[in-house]
Amino acid sequence: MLFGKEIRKTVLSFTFVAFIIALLVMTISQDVLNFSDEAIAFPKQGADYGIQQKEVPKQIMPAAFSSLCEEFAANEYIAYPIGFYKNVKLNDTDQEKMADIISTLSGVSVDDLLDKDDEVSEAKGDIEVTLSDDISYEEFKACMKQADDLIGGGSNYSENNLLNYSYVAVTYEEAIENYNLIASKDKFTGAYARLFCDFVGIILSIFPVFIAVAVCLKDRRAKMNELIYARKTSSFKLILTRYFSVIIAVMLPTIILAYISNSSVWGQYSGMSLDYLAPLKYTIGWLMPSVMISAAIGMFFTELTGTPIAIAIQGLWWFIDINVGVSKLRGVHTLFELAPRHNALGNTQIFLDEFNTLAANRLIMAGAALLLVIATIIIYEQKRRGELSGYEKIKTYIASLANRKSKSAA
Amino acid sequence: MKKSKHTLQVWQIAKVNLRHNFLPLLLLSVIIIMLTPVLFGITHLDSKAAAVPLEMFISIIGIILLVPIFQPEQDDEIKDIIASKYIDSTYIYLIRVAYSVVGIIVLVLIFSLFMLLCGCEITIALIFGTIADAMFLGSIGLLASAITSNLPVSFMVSLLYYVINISMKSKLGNFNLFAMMNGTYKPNSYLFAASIIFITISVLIKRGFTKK
Amino acid sequence: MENCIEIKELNKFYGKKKQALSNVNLTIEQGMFGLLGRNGAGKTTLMKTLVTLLKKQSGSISVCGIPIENAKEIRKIVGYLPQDFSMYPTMTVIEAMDYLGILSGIGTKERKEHIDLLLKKVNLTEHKNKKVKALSGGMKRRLGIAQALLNDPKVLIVDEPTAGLDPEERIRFRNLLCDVSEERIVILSTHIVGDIEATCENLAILNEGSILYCGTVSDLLDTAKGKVFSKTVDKRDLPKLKKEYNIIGMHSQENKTYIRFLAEVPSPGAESCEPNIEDAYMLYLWNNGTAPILSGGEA
Repeated sequence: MLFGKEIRKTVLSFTFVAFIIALLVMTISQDVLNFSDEAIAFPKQGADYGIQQKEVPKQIMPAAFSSLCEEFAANEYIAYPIGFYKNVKLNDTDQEKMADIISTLSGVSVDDLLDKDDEVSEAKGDIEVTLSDDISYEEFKACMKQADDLIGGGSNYSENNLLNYSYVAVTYEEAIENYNLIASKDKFTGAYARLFCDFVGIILSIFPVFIAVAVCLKDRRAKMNELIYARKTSSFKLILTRYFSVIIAVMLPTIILAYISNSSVWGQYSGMSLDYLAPLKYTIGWLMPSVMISAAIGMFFTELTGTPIAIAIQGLWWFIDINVGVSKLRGVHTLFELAPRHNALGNTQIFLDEFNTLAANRLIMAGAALLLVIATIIIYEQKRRGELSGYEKIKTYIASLANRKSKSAA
Repeated sequence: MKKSKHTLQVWQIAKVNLRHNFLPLLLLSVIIIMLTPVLFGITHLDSKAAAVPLEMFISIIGIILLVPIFQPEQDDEIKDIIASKYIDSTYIYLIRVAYSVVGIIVLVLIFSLFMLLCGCEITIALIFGTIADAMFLGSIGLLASAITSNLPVSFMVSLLYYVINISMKSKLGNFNLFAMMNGTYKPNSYLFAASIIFITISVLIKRGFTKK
Repeated sequence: MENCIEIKELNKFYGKKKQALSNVNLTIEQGMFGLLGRNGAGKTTLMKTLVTLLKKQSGSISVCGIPIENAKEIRKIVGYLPQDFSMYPTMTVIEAMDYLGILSGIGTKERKEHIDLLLKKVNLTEHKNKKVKALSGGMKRRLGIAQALLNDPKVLIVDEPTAGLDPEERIRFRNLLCDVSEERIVILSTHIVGDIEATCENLAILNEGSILYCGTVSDLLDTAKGKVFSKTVDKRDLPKLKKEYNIIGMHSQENKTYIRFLAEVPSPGAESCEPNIEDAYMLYLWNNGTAPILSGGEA
């Protein structure tokens, strides 16, 4: 009963309509609503199967080493510590430590590398610095890790980025293997559902916060707070119902779009075994935790402060996350990411390799969301009993800060 | 005599608005600006690399500073009170627009100067382009807020435009927000002109509402 | 104790300094009970405490035998109309009632019947499909009463319900309150003496968080007997008289002015008159040393 009413309230709001429009604009503009021209076909012999990243020590070691030497010589290390481009310059001590690492790998002495005598700096280019033959790949990786730590993480020498030095052509056998994985594990539909989630996750990680904030601010703006506070219904029931009506209101159209998108390719695989539940599994497993955390942050901060500050908080997190996500497009995951990326049709092996991290991340997000909802219930109950008027307190606090500032400025 | 009284009133409104409506937004923008060096490397960048933090992060302050400026009147009662006052509410909107635009310009200038001091290649075109990006992002949200009177929806409009730009820049032609990092500066003039038009339309729409 | 509200030694502070209620002792029985006091006297604080929207600091309250700490049970039997309220503007009257009815935990069938009945009672049946934002002030107030009665409460608490209503709506509203006060405790707070006069048998006067008077209306009038006087004076003498007497009313005719004032002892040339509640209220404030200087103006 209450659930029906809350769903109605949520769905009949301007914010929700705007969300639906945003969802459509996003899916259509990113070409994930219709996959009909992207059929996955069994590889033909002799075709070009593209390239892939593969851990080939013979390729990685010399390439990474020479890159490190160049960056070391210029003392300008490129890094993407949290997804954004950073140009790191090391101080003398760290540069010395870096020289130590290069020395270990090449056998050239630290002094020669650092070229301490300015007068012979001309000779810098003459020193032959090459990777020693007797360095094993494991040793090499350990050195690279040290170098990466010195640079501050996210450099070209991090475990993940080392793979960038090793692109190899996909062989016919591998292409068949990839195809078979898509056919057996993804049953085709899974691959499409994943790509759909990749894009839609970006907006489902931020827009639910707007809906949740609007739902929570509605009572106060309508001056209906006290009428509702004085009712019999428990805070637990009210907040939980509101929370899940936001989740359902967001998830239903998403699931429908996921099916529209997914069914666009069903016709191309007639006679093969497809997983018709894939869109449902992926939207719930992949997207719903993002929706849950976003909506929970919206409700929590709105009830706590009575202001739309949650939009700024979630906005900042989302903004950083999507920029970090750009460096993980191929489908690697971290425990605390908001919108997991997997920007490829297929790539099933990576998905399977990373599945545990992804699952853990999704569980963490969903769990954190539920904790926030419980915290919201407690706050709501306190406000209802007149114990906590966070908004007033924070307002007075900010006002006193502003006063102090304007006084000290005067 | 009457004129000076009028000026005085406008001045007073400007002061009240500064404190109650503008300062919190400015504070949030300053937080964004201070976060930027933490997230991005901003030392020794060439103009293309320098455009990355400017276009992708600093432009966000346009959303923060411009979108909420009609917000205080969203409450019907307050709207009536303000509309019934002697001063034309258009003045109030224009004062706030002025604050926000000046705020954007000053913050972009300060940050650009900071980048310049860090050895980045900062050009006038880059600074202007960043201001144009910020104003455009803000002005589409502002237009949405003038039409819908709904702040969350207005933020959603600005953010949606931002997201679309991340993944389909080339298709947006002259309205591509992130062109400078590819060395193209032409879209920014379009963005700037469009933002002026959007802001003007927004104020006119609002004026129509309150006059009614 | 089944049908009364007992308040003992109730205290409530806001922050460290401001005492909103101090040592309030009240017993409120069935029927209409008026809570009279000026703005900021603590009426709203007292009422919000009774509907569990504010926590008390000390003392005890029981509502129909239920201790106030048991918020859930209290909310079942209490109906509340706040001073400043509204409802979702885009909902219709009937939708808003339905939503609040659900929050009161009333079953579907019962709710529908009850809402029809209540809307009829408050004369809003023909407006039931109107949006809340389209209602007039008086209609909104009547809808407010209807929503407070949704759970058929034993206790109805209405905070300043007549403020801002035109005289016609005000009378209508008072009658409505009298109608619903049968078999219920109705607490009505107001700073308009006429509301109490028209509806209540019992009342309390609240001033700066303390109870100045609690009892029946007729007892209140008795205490003011022989202390209210009237006199017709020359207009020119007014400034002097204003300093001498505690004037509570005056009206002028040509150069004569008729004044009404409070005094402990009869004054020469003045006629004793029958006190009304307003006089008695002013007398209590005056005796308490907190009466506003109505006769001032030159000071």
